[in-house]
Amino acid sequence: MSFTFPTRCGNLCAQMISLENVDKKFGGRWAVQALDLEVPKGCIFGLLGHNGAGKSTVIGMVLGQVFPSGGTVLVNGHNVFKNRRHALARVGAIFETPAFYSYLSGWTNLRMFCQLTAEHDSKRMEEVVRFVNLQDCIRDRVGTYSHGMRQRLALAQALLPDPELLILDEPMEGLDPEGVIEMRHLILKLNREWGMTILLSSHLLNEVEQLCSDIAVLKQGRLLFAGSWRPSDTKQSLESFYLEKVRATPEAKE
Amino acid sequence: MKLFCLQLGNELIKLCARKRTYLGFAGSIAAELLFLSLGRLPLARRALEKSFQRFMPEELARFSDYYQGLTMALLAVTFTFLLLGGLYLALVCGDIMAKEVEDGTMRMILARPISRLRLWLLKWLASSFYTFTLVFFIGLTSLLLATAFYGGLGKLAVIYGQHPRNLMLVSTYETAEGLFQYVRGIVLLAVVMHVVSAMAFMFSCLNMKPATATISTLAIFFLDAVLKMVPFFSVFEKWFLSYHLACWLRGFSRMLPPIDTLTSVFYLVCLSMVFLGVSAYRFSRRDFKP
Repeated sequence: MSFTFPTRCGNLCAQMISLENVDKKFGGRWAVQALDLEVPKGCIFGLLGHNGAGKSTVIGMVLGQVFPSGGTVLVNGHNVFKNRRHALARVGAIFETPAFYSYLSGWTNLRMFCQLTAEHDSKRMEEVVRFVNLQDCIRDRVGTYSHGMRQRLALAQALLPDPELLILDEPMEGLDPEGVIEMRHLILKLNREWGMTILLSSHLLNEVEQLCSDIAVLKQGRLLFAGSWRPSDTKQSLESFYLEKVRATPEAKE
Repeated sequence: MKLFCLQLGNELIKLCARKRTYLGFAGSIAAELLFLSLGRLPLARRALEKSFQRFMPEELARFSDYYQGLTMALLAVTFTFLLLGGLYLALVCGDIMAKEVEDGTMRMILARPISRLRLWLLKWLASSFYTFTLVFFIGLTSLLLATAFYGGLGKLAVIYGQHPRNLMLVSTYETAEGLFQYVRGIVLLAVVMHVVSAMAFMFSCLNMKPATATISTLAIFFLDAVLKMVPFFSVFEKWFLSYHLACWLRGFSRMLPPIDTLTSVFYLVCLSMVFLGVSAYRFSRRDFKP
C-alpha cells in the first residue's frame, strides 16, 4: 500500500495546540474552567475524563466550533478564532459518529468536503481512498455503509488536507474488535510514519494506554493532570492512575 | 470565484439529491391538476360567470374568451400557493441549515477552515435558488396545464378582492399583454416569496430542529393571515405580511398606482434583509457541540 504526503513546511512553534486560560460557560454551567493545556508536536495526546468532563468542548474550541468565554486557543501558533484559515489549514478531525450525506456516494462526499477549502485533486482522493481501503465501495451511497466503513470514510476526509494535526473524538466507539485493532494500527502508523500529531479523546483507557505518550485528565471542566505518560515511570496502570486523580478531586459545586 | 461556484454547485447537488426537495414540485402539480379539473365542472364555470356578471358585466358576453389558459393559470397559481407554496418553501428552507446541524454534517464541515459567513451565504443562495425554481415551476406548469385543459391562452381577467374593505380590483388584458402581465406577476411572486424563505432560513440558523423552524414559519404566516381578516385589525392592514405578500396580485390592477406594489416589495425586501441579518449574526456566533 503506497501513500505519499507532500513535503511539510510547518510552523516552528513547538506546541501544536495551546490553550491559555480558557473558559467556557453554557448557560450557568462551567463546561471548561481556567484551562491551560499544551499539546506538543509529533505526539499522540490522550484526552481523558468522564462524560461531561469537557473533552468535546475542548475539541470544539480547538476546531473553532465552540466559542470560549475567555482565553486563547492557538493551533500551530495561529489563533483559531482570529485566523481560522491558517490555524485549521492542516487539521483533520473525526468525530464519534461520522456524519455524511447518506444519499450521496462516498466519492461525492469526499469531493464536497475537499472543495470546502480547495479544488479537489482526484489523484490525491484516490490515494486516500486506497489508504483507508474503501476503493471497492467508494461509488456506493454512504447510506449503505456500515459504521466501520463510515469511520474509514471519515478518516479519508480527515486525511485529505494532508494534516499535521489529527483530532480523533472517540474514534473507536461502536467499532467491532477488528475495527478497533485496525484503527489503533492506523493511528500509530499516521503518528510514527507520517509524523502527525494526534489528539485522541477516548473513554477506553487501555487504548489510550497503548497509544498515547502524553495525557490530560479533565474533571468537570478542570484540568487534573497534563503531562507525559509512561507506565514504567509511574509503576501503575493508567486505570489506577486515572481513578486516583479523579477520586482525589472533590466534586465542584455548580 | 471558481471555488465559490464549485461550492455553490455542491450545495445545489445536496438540495437536488434529497427527495424532500421534489415534494414541492410533485405536490404543486397535483394541486394544479385538482384545481384545473374542478374548474371545468359546470358548477365552477357558473360561479366564475357569476363573478363576471357581478364585477365586470360589460365583459360577460366574452366570458368564454376569459375562461381559458391565462385566467385559469393565474387562478391555479393563486390556489397552489395558498395551499402549498408557503408550506414547501418553509419546509425546504427551514431544513437547509438545521438539518445539517441535526445530522452532524455541520460539525464535519466546520472542522475545515471555511468561514462561517461563506457557508451561510452558500446556504442562503441555495434557498433562494429553490424559491425561484419552485415559483417559476408552478407558474410554467400552471400555464401549460391550463392551456391544455381549456384549449388556448385566451384573455386574462384578474378579480382581486381586498378583505375586509370589500374593494374589488378588476382588470382585463388581451392575450399578448395578458401573457406579459402573467410572466411579470410570476417574477414578482418569486421576489416576494423570498420573505417566507428568509424567515424559515433564519429559524434554521437558530438553535432549533428543522421541523421547529418550518412550523414556526408557518405559524407566523398563518397567524398573520388570520389576524388580517379580523375586522378589528382592518385599520392596521398595511402592517400585515399577508397584505404585502398579495402585492403580486394587486400589481395586475390598472386601478392601483405602481407605487403601491413597489412599497410592498420594498417592505418585504427590507424584512427579508432583517431576517437574513439575524440569521447571519446568529450562525456566525453560535456554538456547535454534539
